[in-house]
Amino acid sequence: MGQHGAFIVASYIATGVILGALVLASLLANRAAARTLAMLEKERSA
Amino acid sequence: MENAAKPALWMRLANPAAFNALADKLLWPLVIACLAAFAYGLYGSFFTSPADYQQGETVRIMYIHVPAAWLALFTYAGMSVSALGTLVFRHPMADVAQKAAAPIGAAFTLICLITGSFWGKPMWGTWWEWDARLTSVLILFLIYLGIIALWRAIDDPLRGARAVAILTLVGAVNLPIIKFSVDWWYTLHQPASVFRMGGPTIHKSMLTPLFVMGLAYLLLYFVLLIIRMKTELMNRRIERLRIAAADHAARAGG
Amino acid sequence: MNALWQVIKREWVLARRIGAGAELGLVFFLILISVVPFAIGADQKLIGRIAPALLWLAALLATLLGLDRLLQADEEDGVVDHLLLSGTPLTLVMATKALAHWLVTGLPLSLAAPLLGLMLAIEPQAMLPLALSLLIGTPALTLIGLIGAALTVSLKRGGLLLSVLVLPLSIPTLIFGATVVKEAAAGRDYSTPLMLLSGVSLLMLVIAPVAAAGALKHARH
Repeated sequence: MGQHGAFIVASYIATGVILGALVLASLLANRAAARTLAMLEKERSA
Repeated sequence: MENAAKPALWMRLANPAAFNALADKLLWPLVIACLAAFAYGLYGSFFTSPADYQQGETVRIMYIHVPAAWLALFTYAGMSVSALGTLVFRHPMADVAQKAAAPIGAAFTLICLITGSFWGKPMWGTWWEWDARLTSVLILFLIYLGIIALWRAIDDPLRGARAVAILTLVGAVNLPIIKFSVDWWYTLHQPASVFRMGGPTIHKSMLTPLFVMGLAYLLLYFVLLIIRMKTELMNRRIERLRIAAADHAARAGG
Repeated sequence: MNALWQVIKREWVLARRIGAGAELGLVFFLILISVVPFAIGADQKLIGRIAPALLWLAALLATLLGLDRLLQADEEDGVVDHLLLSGTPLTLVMATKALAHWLVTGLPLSLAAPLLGLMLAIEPQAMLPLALSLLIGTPALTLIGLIGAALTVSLKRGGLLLSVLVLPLSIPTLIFGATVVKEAAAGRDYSTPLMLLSGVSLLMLVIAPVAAAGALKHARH
């Protein structure tokens, strides 16, 4: 990849890290909300 | 009301249950298409596309940088439409969509800035150049951060939604002016010889990976938007249930 | 019309009483200018070169100060309710608020700027354009600030957030305003940036009162 290979790889890694973090945060938040909601619904019907 | 036409799709989506049903149907096809587009786009940007005669191999950074700039603007356009939906049509999903979209737009803007910096170091010799385009994107990033900060500052979701919608629209009016003023400022202060990424001459063999990567980003945007909107809906329901439970407990106790 | 005149008069009295009036704004402006040589060094040539930018930055900061209380005080006192009940259009009230704020910040700054420009070694031929650019440009800063003030009116400590919201939007004003002075100092024609600056101010005059009134109305229920 020539003399600037490190810069190319670094920019792809940075992109991957940012998008990965966003995906992970979104999934975790979704999971947490689903769990809390299920718990509350169960309490209410109990 | 047998003769009444079925309400338009966007009206039906005002119901969270209808939205969730449609979202669940769309989510997996979108995820698969997104992964496929990323695989094809990354393959193209690393193996099939040639090095640029001026920028050399660093042109490969363009495939993740330029689509990020597209998505940064696209997300803002989407948020402006949502803002109109909140203020004019009072569509209950509009502010949910806007709240879900803001961090996605900020992330793409950040990617655009960081990859631009990684491109600038070998091409310009500096990590940061006050180049017209990069500067405009930086200001867009600041506006995104302002919007997210305002969301966080106001705890009542309905009031927050209206305030953010107004800020988004004011920003939408200002963005073209900011873009124009920064371009104008740049031509006054900088030599025109500075390199620009993705200048006017892009070779055809570079267009395919560029557009495929753009499509991959777009699909990822929709996947994330759906997930985040579903989360936001659940969080609002949790809030309502908690208030109801507290109410109930207070009445039982008092 | 009478109600609006009352708003202006009230603003004026309030601004003077809480010490945020013209004098203190000017003192703040003077202090900002005075600390510059200590930060950069007493290099007259260098200071002269960055003086247009410094004066415009100082104007921006001086406008930001006190913005967070611009609408909050009225909101807490119920003055806004009163105005709404009296049937005065909120958009007009907002425009009046901006005018009153500008009268005690932007206007005195514009008039005092040539004097401070003298201390900062600005070229003599740029003095008039400097005052003119501030006179035309500071209303835009006040109006943008008004939007920020309306958006953060319900927040207890909204000052920092207000700056974060307002500063990116005031970049075009800063660019055109500082360029007017720079071009004039270099002896070039400065009519283009001056026209663009007027354009920004006029546009803000149209947008800001509507946006601020909308934000204030929505913040209430």
